[in-house]
Amino acid sequence: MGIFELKGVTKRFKDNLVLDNINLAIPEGSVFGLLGINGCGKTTILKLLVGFYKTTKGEVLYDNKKLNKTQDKLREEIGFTTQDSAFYPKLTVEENIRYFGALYGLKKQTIENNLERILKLVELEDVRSKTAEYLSGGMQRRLDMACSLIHVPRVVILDEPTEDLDPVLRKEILHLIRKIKEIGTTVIITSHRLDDIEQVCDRVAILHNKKIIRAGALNQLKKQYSEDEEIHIQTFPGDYKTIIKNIDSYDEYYIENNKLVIKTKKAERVLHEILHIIENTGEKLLYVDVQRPTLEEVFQSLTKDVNAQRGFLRKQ
Amino acid sequence: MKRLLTLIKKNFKLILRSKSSAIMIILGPLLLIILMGAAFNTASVYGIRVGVHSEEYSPLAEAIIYELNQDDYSTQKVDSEQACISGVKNGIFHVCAIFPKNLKVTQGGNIVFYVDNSKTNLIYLVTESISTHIGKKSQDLSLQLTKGIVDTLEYIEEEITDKELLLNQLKTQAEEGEATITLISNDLTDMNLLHEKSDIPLGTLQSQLGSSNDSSAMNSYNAVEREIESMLEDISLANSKKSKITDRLSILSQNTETNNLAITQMLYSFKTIKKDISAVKETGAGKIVNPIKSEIKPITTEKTHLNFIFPTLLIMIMMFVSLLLTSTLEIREKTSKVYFKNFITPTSETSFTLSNYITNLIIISLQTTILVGASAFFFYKEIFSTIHLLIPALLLIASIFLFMGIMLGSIFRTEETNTITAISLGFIMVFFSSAILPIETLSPVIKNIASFNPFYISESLLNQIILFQSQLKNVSSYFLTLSLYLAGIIIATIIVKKISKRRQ
Repeated sequence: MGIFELKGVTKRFKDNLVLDNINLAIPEGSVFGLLGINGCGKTTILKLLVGFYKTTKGEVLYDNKKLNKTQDKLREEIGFTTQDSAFYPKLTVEENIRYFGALYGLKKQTIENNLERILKLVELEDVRSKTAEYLSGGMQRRLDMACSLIHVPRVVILDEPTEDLDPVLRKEILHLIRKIKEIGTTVIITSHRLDDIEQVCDRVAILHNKKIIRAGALNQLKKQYSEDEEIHIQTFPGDYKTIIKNIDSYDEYYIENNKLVIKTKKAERVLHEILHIIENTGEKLLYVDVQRPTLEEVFQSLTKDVNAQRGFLRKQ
Repeated sequence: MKRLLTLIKKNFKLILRSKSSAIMIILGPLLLIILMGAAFNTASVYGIRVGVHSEEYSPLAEAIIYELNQDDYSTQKVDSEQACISGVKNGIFHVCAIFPKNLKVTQGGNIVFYVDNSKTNLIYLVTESISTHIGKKSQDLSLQLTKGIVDTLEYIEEEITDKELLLNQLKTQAEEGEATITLISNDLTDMNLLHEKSDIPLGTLQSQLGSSNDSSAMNSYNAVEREIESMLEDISLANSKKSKITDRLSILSQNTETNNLAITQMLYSFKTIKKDISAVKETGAGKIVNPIKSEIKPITTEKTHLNFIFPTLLIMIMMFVSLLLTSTLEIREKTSKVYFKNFITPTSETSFTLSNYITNLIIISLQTTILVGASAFFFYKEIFSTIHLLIPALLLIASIFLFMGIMLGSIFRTEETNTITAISLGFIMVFFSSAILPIETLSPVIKNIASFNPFYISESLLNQIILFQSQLKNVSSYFLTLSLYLAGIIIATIIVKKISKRRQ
């Protein structure tokens, strides 16, 4: 049971099947990450959650009630930040936030009180009178979030919040999400950036080929897929073909940034073999590291076609 | 209500903070009325180029050409009729006038005008104006000719009156002469000149003288007898001449009688002619030339084109601004990044629609106030006397077009398609109204359909209110029709919005 539940939800746009029999529960108080490659239907799920799209089949529950019966309640209790900066560029920061406060039906005094808190939360106090169009990208994203938070929602949905942001701005947004989590708001995030999800989410669902292929607590998922380890090695002149040819116990390998990455369940033994080969072939060792799998690897191992796109080569 | 106000406030902030939008919304209509005022604040046609051609220009033709040149027409003589017609086709001339060879009043003749019918409105004005000029010249000539005839008639009447007296004198004298002839004739008839020798008792005297045998007496007797015989011969001759005189007098009497009769007939003819001339009641040449004068008096006091087109202009501005602005705002809101965020707030879609309507209604009201205010200041002082009807009429008309715009914005998904459709719809409504050509020029079926055109109905209503200062009872049917329209369009908008929402 969660604050949101999708039961056997299918969504078609004319002949285009976007979601197929989705079953998903989003627990209240969690930071829930919805993972999937671009265009896999993450935003469609979010829009189904808020009733913007109607399901072709199945039903969406909010607070254990069908969405059509709780639509008004939902709209009062939800905040939504889209992929794009959804505010009026010609209005100032304050005006935008006040505008959404009024649309959420807040009293003037409540808006003013919340405004101060929200501006502090999103760290936009200094630019409160600035026209939104002149804000930096990170500030705009934070303003967008502030507009979704003015009514202190029970649930806030963030659709690709770190998309198109540089590392510094991404860090700012992730920091903000953590702060939102701290005030007890349920956060639903979609992203194809697995490292971002890994940093803030406690639960995730992976959407692939129109279906939810895995869902659960992040730690459990990582543990489930923690058998494989990665050996990252860089040599000079870099005859990686000879190295690969002479080792046995690996599952997959790929070359990235002049480094050889080998996935194996027996990392210690393989590493020993590699060092031996290097010594015999006269290669000069420049870099070596053994890493546990990230969420990205979990995702990659679950979505085989993505692996292929990334250039993974399976053992012959 | 608070949410609605917030939405309206937001709409205005967005419009006003976009400088170009603000300028266009506020200064646009003002600029338009100034331009239209400068362009149409006249009742004449200026700068009309007339090509003229004649194989031989008579003084009359030259006079007509001169007349045209005097009134802001620019005439140009062309070498051939074909070149003149080609000039109209190529837009060098507005009209081509072909004068007959050696045009004279005595011979008459047709002046043929070639016009480009594709420039419908211009042609109406030009042909009317040129016809007026030619007609004026023709009328002047007719006036001169008629005046000559009338003067001659007056002279004849005077002469007849003068000579009638003489004839009466002649008649009297003739009658007197005839009476004298009759008297002479009677006297002559009474005169007995039939004498015979035997009527004189000469035999007795002769016997007595014979018996006396007085020769001298006999000689004297014989001389007397001869004298008597001579006298009898003279009397016989006189009698013969009397007969001849009597005959001649009879002829003279007949002639005098005939003359008398002729004089009587002449007098009768003179009397009839005088009577006929007197019976001509109108002797003024001007009135004879143009016995029935037609004068077109406008039912309004206005004099310039701008006055007449002002109601149409007002509706046109309201319609295009309403259709384009409302539908554009609707589409922009729908396609904006904020639309979804607005959607998930507890504010109903009706509030957004109403805010769009009210925002644009305020803008239209502002523009209309500028237009009506400027018109009242410059040329329509009396517009304020109808303000109690004008305001509800304008509100009703604006609402119809605003909801039409909202409906268009709800149907279409891109601004381009919406703009094209809004403009097309606007032009269809303008074409099937009396704005370009009178609706009466359309085919009966189209005319009947066009009479339901909201633009046409609105135009008629504003004409009634602004131009004729009509009372409510005279325009109530227009109000009713437009109110029904508004209700219909609102219902249609609701349906369209529901359908477009279902499509998501």
